[in-house]
This record gives sequence, C-alpha cells and structure tokens, in this order.
Amino acid sequence: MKSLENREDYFKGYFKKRLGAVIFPFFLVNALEIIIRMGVGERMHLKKAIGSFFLSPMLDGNHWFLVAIILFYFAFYGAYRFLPHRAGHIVLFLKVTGYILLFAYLTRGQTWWYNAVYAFPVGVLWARRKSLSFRLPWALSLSGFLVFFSLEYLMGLNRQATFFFMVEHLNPIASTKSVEGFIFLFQLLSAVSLSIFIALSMQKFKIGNRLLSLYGKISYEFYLIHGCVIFILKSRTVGVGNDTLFAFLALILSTALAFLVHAVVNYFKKEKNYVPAK
Amino acid sequence: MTILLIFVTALVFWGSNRREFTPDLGKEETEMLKGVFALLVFAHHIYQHLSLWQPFRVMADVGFLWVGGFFSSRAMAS
Repeated sequence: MKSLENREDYFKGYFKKRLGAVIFPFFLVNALEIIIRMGVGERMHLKKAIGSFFLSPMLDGNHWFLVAIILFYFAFYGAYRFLPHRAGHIVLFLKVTGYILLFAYLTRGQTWWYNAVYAFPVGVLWARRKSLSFRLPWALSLSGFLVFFSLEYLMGLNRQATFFFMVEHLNPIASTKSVEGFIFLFQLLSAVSLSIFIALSMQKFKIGNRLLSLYGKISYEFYLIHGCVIFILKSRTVGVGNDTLFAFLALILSTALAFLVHAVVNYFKKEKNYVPAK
Repeated sequence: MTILLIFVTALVFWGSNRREFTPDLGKEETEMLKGVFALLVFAHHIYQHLSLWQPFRVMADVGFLWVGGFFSSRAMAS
C-alpha cells in the first residue's frame, strides 16, 4: 500500500512482480518437497506427483496461504487500480468477505483457510494510516485482543470448563453450530486486534538485528518449507522422538532450506534482469 | 519446550529499543515483522507435535493469530 501511494507506476508489471514473488518460490519448494517425500519412503505415482506439483492434491496444508494470497493480490488490483482509494478499501473488504464465505463453503469448516484473513485489508489500511494518535488506539486494540481472545479461549480451547459446554449438552445440534460461529468470529476479531496492537506498538518500539533481518527476507520460503521439514522429521524413516531435538532440527533445517530456496529465486531474478554491457 | 518461545522472544528483543513515536514504519521493519510471524507460525506447528504441559498447549491452537500477523505485515510491506 505504501508503494501504491508513493509510486504512480505501481500497477505497471503488478502481476508479474507480485505473483512471481509468491508462485516461483512455491513451485521450487513443492518440487523439493515431492523429491524429499519420495526420498523418505512415501509412495507417489507419477500422476500424483504431477498433480501435487500443481496443488491437486495439496501436499502440505500450509500451502493454502498461496491460494489466499494470490486471490488477495487480484482483489487488491481490482479494488485500487480503477477506483479511488476510499472506495477501494470498501471493495477490498467486500472481496475478502466473499473469500471467507466461499472458502467456508468449499472447505466445510476448515477454519484456518479463513479465520485470520481480515488482517490483510487491515494491513493495507494500516500502511495508509497518517494519524498521530497512539494511546487510545493502543489501549483499545490491546483490550480488544484480550477480550476477544479470552472469549475464544473459553469457547474453543477450554470449552469443557465453561457454561457453553453445558449449553451445548442441553441442545447439542443448534448450540454447537452457534458456538462454532462465535468461535470463528472471536478468532477473526482477536487476529485483527492483535495485528493492530503489534503495528501500533512498533511505532514506539524499534525491533531489528541481523538474524531478524535474515528471517524477514526468507519469511515466505520459511513458511512454505517448514511443514515439509516437520513431515520428514516425524516420518517413519527419520522419526525423531526427542522433543527438543525435533524442534531444534526443524528450526535449523527449515532455515537452511528456506535460505537455499531464497538464494535460487534471487539468482534467477538477477539473471533475468541482467543486461549485458554493449 | 520453553526454548522455542525464548528463542523467538530473544530474537524480537535483541537489538530493540524504545523510541520516539514514529507514525511511518519503514519497509525493513515490516519485513522483519514478517519474519517474526513466520517464526511464530513455525512454533505453532512444532507445538502441535509435542506432548505439552497445559499452558503451552494453547500455543498449538492459536495459529490464526500468527497467520493474521503474517497477512497484515505482508500487506503493509508490499
């Protein structure tokens, strides 16, 4: 959003730049994952391998993020390319709402596909925020987060300890559905309020060191690859049993592989932009 | 299994400091924020595979918070 405000030619080559940055690393990671899975003994026919390469079936549940972010980039383009920014914000929120409804229907309750996605338009709006007020929004976002998360925790994670559990037992069918609806709503609201709270806190709290800078650069690749690493470490062939060793190896391997994928992506990016001297 | 959370917390606080109010977060900072949330999503998935003491079990179920942060920081940075 910041770049959109500062650059007139922001949408020039938009899809190539935005989609390329998420799709190319994904295919690299996916190819690597297929090879690794076969290496640790997973049976995979050629047809399944080719299908998995193109997300059908999805090898790693975390890769839903790619589908969502691609759709959001399209939604962003549709919202801000031809409309004034204010109307664009509304259109973007409506499109993300459409995404939630669509994937609530398609995934039949796999809420991780849609229970945090409003954070995307909130991030877009945040980048445009010019307000100098701090204390009130900070206090509101913190208390919002605490309230919504407490409710989510009581209704979802620790349901048996609450009166909601008793309500469900009185009328299991109707109340379970309404409780699930409320849990989803509180997840959505707590994710959004936490995002706002952290963004606000950073206005008075500067973070930064070399390692964090590295993780910032490889964050997307790290996100894509860590599911595969966990799969390998928990596979029958490798089967790391010790919890501490498992977490340590997962962190080291995920970081190393993410860095490798990031380096390959950068290499091709540079090769493409290379202009030979005349 | 506190080690993983200590690692992420230490990473955030290492080299950090309080500053005067800055309305505009720089590109580099929002990039780092993406890194923090990616690590938290990672920790969330790791914790799903561990037998945990009750308070830590929460971490295995709150992936939506970190994914939300990952989405918002990505939107801010781009």
